Amino acid sequence: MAEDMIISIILSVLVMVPVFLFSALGVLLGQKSGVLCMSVEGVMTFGGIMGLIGVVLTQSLWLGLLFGFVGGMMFGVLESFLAVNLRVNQAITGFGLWFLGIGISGAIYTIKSLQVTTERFSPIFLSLDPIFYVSIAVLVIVYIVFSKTKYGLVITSVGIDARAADIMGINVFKVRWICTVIGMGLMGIGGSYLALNFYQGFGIFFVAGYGWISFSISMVSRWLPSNVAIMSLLFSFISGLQIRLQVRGIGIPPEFMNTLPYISVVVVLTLAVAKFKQVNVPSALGVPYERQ
Amino acid sequence: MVKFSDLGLLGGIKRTLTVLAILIVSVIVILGVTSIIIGVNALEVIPLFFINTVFSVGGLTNTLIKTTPLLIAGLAITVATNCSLWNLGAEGQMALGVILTTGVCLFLDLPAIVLIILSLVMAFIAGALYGGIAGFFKARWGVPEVPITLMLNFIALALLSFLVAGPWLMPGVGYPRSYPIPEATKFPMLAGTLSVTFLMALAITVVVYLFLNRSTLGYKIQAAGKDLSAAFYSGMNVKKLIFASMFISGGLAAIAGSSLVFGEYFRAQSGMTGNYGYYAIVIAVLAKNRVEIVPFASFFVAMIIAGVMSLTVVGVPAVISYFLLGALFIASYLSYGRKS
Repeated sequence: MAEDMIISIILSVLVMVPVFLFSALGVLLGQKSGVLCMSVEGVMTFGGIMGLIGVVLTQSLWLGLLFGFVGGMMFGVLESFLAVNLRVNQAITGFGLWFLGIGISGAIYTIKSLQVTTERFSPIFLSLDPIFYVSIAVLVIVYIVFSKTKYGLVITSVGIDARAADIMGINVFKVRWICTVIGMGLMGIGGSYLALNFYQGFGIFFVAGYGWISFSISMVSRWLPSNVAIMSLLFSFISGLQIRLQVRGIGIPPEFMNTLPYISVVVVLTLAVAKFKQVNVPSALGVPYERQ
Repeated sequence: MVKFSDLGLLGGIKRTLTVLAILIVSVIVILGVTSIIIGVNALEVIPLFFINTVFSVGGLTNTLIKTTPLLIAGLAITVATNCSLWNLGAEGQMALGVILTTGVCLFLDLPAIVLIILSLVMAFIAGALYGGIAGFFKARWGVPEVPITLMLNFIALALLSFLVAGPWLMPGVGYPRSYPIPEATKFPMLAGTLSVTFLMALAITVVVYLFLNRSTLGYKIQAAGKDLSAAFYSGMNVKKLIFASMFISGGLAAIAGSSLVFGEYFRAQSGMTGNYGYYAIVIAVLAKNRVEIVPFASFFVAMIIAGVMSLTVVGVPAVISYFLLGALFIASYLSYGRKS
């Protein structure tokens, strides 16, 4: 009996991990190359509606996530074009695409009113669904790319000093394009997983700040994939804890329990930045590069 | 090509009119494309949009009602952007303004005029302290203000929905809302349902303009926003300036919440801040740090929101307004990118 309870507690902790991992790794990838990716929230919303479209069209959750990935990449193309080629202020690009994502997704949903008809992902191993393992695989790949391959160094150098990288013969625009497009694709997967596996549908504001939490995770982690894993675990734990406490009913109104993840972002972000202010920051973050 | 960043009275009437024409044409194009996609008659939808927002008494009143909180919140964010800070927490600060205003008016037994002044002051202080949290963290440790202000929104909104659904609930209406504020504290109507709060918003515009352009603190805030290190090396206390601009920004945003209570809803209810705090970001971006442009930008954004909302009867989804604003956002700032 006690063992069951411990296992179910552990599972409830792990259940949100893929959402945070996909989105935060996406942000990390973009930010490492110097693109701010503030549009996470909108991209995840669009990933959600694309996932829903995919599921309705194909009746397959896997293809739904693929649709989410493609949807995220579409926003990645937009963001790269605006931020890298046209050199629009990246905060503005971020806010603009955030609004755009919510607008398009909400409009599609209002017109078509799609419903999920399939079940959630069924567990394959240790009562965790396959996507959990896929997200771990993505984490490992990102980790290896950044710590063991020359591509990681290339991306990092573009994010720290684009001009020096350019002089060394690296195509800054290409690197930023690839990183942003793939990164936003990952955010799209995160959004579609949130929609398909948790929300089991769509609402205009269903992402409810989880995109911004992922954005903060990347920042708190000081752009290290291993820290992203720890932070995803932490925020997944907090979200899971909040749901469990609500089910148990411990006398705190649900409105306040819902804010637990947001409060913890404020606390963790402040602590992390106050303590590790100058560690590992991509110094060209948000600065558009212009060839002379 | 006319750059959007040149929109302004200083740029001359001709240029302003050109930019406005471009904006209106883009709204028409987006609305037209949307109507074709969803299969309604575009020739019916587009005139309806303008009739429902500007060319009818009811429509214009409705647009001006929406302009009021947007203008104050837009000014709030403009104060922060003048210091190169993003206050994305206007939504939460407005919610605090609503809470404080309604709380003071409902539970204190004082003359109406005292209640009004007291609640405005309390709302300003609460919002200012709330915005000041992010400002303090930014100034003290360099914590990015964008995620912090956003996260604080959710907390303040939770407090509002808790209060109106719990302790302040007026039973028997089926919708979480508080009791109405006393009759004497409601602001009088200017015309139809347009409240005097609209004039209050215009007065705040003048005050903010004078503050930023004629006072020492405002001047210093602008200097720090233009070049932080130059301000630092010329001996300004930049940490104080960062905190001050977020403090004032938060306080003003809370006053936008008060204007909703005094002029439109006369009570607290859940969801009454209606994402105005987020729309106000668009206003600040459109106005590009210039207080004198904020009223026009607010009117334009209010027009989009009110117009699209009125089109739901013919089948255009209301959420399209986000799409329009997002597109405007980027279009308006494309000119920034070409800056050498």
